[in-house]
Amino acid sequence: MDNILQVRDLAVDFTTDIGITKALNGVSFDVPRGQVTAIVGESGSGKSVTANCVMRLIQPPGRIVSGSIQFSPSQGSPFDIVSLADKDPRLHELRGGLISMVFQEPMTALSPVYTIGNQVAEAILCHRDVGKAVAWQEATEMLIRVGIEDIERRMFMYPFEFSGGMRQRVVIAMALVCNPEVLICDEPTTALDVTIQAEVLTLIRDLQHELGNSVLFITHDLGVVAQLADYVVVMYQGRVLEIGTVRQVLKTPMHPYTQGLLQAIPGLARAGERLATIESVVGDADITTPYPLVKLADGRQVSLPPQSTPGGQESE
Amino acid sequence: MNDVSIDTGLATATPRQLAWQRFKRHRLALASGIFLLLIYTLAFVCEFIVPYKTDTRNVQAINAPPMSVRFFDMEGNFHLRPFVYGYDMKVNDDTWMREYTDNPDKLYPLRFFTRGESYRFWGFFEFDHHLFVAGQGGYVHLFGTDQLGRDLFSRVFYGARVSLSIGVVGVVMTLVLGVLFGGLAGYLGGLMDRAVQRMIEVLQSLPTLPLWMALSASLPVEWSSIRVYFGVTIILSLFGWTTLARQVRGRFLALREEEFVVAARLIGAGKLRVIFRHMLPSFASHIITTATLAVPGMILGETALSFLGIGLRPPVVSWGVLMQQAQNYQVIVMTPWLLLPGLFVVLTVMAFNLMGDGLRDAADPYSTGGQS
Amino acid sequence: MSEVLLEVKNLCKSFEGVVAVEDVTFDLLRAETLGIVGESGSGKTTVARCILRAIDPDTGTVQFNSSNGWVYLTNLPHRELVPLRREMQMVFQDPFASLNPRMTVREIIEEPLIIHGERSRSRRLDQVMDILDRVQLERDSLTRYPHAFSGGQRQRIGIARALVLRPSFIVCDESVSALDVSVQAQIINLLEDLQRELGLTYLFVAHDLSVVQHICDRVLVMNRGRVVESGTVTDVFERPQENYTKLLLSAIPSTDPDVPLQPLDREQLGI
Repeated sequence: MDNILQVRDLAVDFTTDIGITKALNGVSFDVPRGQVTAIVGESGSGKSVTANCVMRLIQPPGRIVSGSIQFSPSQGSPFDIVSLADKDPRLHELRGGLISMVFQEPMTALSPVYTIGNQVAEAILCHRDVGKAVAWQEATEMLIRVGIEDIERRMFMYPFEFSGGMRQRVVIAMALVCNPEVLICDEPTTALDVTIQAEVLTLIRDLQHELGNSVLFITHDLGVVAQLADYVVVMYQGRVLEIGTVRQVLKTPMHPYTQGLLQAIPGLARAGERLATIESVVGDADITTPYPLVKLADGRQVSLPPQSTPGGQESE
Repeated sequence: MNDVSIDTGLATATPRQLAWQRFKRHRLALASGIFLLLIYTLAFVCEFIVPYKTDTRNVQAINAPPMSVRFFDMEGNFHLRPFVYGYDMKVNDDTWMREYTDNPDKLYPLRFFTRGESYRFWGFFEFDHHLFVAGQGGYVHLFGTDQLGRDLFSRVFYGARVSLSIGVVGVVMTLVLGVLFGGLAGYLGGLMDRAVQRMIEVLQSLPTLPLWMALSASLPVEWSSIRVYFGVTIILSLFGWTTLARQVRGRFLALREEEFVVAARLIGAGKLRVIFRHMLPSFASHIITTATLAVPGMILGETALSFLGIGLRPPVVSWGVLMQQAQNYQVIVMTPWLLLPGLFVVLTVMAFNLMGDGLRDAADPYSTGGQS
Repeated sequence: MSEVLLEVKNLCKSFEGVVAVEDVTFDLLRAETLGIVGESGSGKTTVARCILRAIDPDTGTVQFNSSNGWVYLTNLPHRELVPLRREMQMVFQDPFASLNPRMTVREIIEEPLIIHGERSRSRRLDQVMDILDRVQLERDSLTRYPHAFSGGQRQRIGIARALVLRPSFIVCDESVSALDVSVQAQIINLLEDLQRELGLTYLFVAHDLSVVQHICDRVLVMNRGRVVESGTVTDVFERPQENYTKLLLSAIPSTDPDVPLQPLDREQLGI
């Protein structure tokens, strides 16, 4: 399979007062080219740390201890992001050029003192050798594309004059304007109201279909995963528990933790009854021991004790 | 990082213990704290620490340089008891300046915890023991002497008592004014808030130095030194409280909306309980930090006023008064040790600032460091 | 139909000229759970806080069926509200900000008892222990400070503080929104268990429709300070009448990849 990113045995430590916390502990997964891969997990699962590793944004007290992230751009030779030197020109090319990121809080990604048009054009000028007029023109087009109306006026407005949903659209425009090969979205809709979230999700989905770039989507919301992702990586306490296509993972989850996560969502079907909790679903199953991921016949990977990995699946 | 509580003593630590742990990590702040503790202790018992009173003159040593404490004499013999050499004075024929050299015949051993000049400790009771005095009828001037032959070491520590306490007394007054006005503005809001705000703005827009000067100049000349001392302190705090009041007001406004304060109101807690049980402890640490950072301002204020000759006046000894002697370039060339009080001002102010920084970082109960 | 516990009539509140709540009227029945859903800025939290008088409403009335008969909450001076605090309490959204970081768990849970005049230390401790068991917290939690607990455990402390006075009416202001899915499920279960055991009445404010759908009997949908639709959960969620409700429901992403997200268009609905 053609993977644009191959993450292998990634380990990240955070040194705190209490000692060393293993934020990531041997994380491996692939991001297939032109597809949407979602990393889903609760707080402390390490999903955001993983995203930050891809952008090389890990700062002390955090440290990438080991592992590799093989990046294979469509042009040029593949290289390992982890082993790039801090001053390597490829790192600048990577950040915001080949790979760009959308964060949870749009206000932190936008400068309050520049107009929207200025900031999006700046993103182009930063990475491509074009004139200001061209940059401005392309910024306008991209902002129209993400659904900003009344563009002539809005280009000259400041972020605080925009609503939360609009700001997130601007951030997405900024992220896409250099035509990145990988778009990383770290909980981009978590701070938004549900109706706005629906609009932004639809936008990301449509743009991905249109532009065909690869997306790494970080979220805690399985509903968002179901609507957007082609592949799902389930993380828990700095490890990957299960990898598969969205239908495999959400319709027939194999790992008890994934099953618990799905059943704990309050939904119509179980109204009035007690909600399942992770504990009640997982029961005695061991979800904390780091078993290696086992690849099954249908392509999915799951981290389970060797004896409980269903053998029947492998012969399918 | 996860839903398990970490059991390393962190779980049962009180917020104060956590703050102390964070403060300890700040090496510079900790060192500054120890330095300040030391110098305040020394200043508190300065009559005992120093060998002479502020006005004792040694006519054999006018403008004499600092002495060094020795264990080996000029022949290279080791002495268990440290000693100093007395001065040999010669007038330079060309410059007519006194020049001092060590006199090997005047070997004065230092005696510890023995009788010396008698003094009244804090003006209360007569006592005559000192930390160290020179034996055999000699003299000791670790920091040298001034143009009247007064021991600078003694004067620096007497001065420390005045300068350092002005910092603390001034800050206490600042605190009272700041918390009172800031608290009133923040808690009552409305008209009171606006009145206090405008008052602060007016006070802050006045140029401080000329105003200090005008006010200090208006202190009656016939006032006793103790009244001048308090006069100067009041003048300094009258302008110092505004920053603190603003911060207190800001914290009050922010805390009033804080969920745990709303929660306290909803369980029926009265105003006083809300303020004293929930709000004040939450910004006590900020107040302490601000106060710490305000002390050097006070010390510098006193030093500046006294240096200009309009603050404390001799015979009161403060660092500012001592520095006033070092106002001309002759001093810097001829008797540079008279600048030593300046070094103490610098060290103290720096220590307060560093400690304040450390306290500020330690004060936040949620900055446990790292990812949790 | 069971007894009415709370009657809200024509409640209005604006902040510096901006209308937050406009003409909100509803009843709350004893032992039911009434949900208020809406997006940010809909005024749902303001309604909840006006009822408990954390905020004073501009106009309108709130009547509460207390153990001593009906009282007008909106007219009482704050001093006279204090005894009523025994009967109505609130569980907050943020399990971090709603607990005083400088008090131990025991002090936090005990404080309501002290305020409401329980003099005997041992009786206070008994009640604290009892409530601690009910919210399923370890007894050795008592001497610890909030920072030593996870989000879910802190929320249990918040619930314990609200319940220690044995109120009949609890306002849950986004009480499970800040929690992870797995912890959220535990807290929802806990709230439902406590309701059954203690006969509590909940006013449940939330933006998450599926939580409301799960826990509530009836629901009010709010938009821009007004109630746009109300009814039983089944009616509102399965047969929404108002366009705004339809829009909200269409925006929930299903966890089934084969049920695609097709949000309705605001403009077509005329909202």
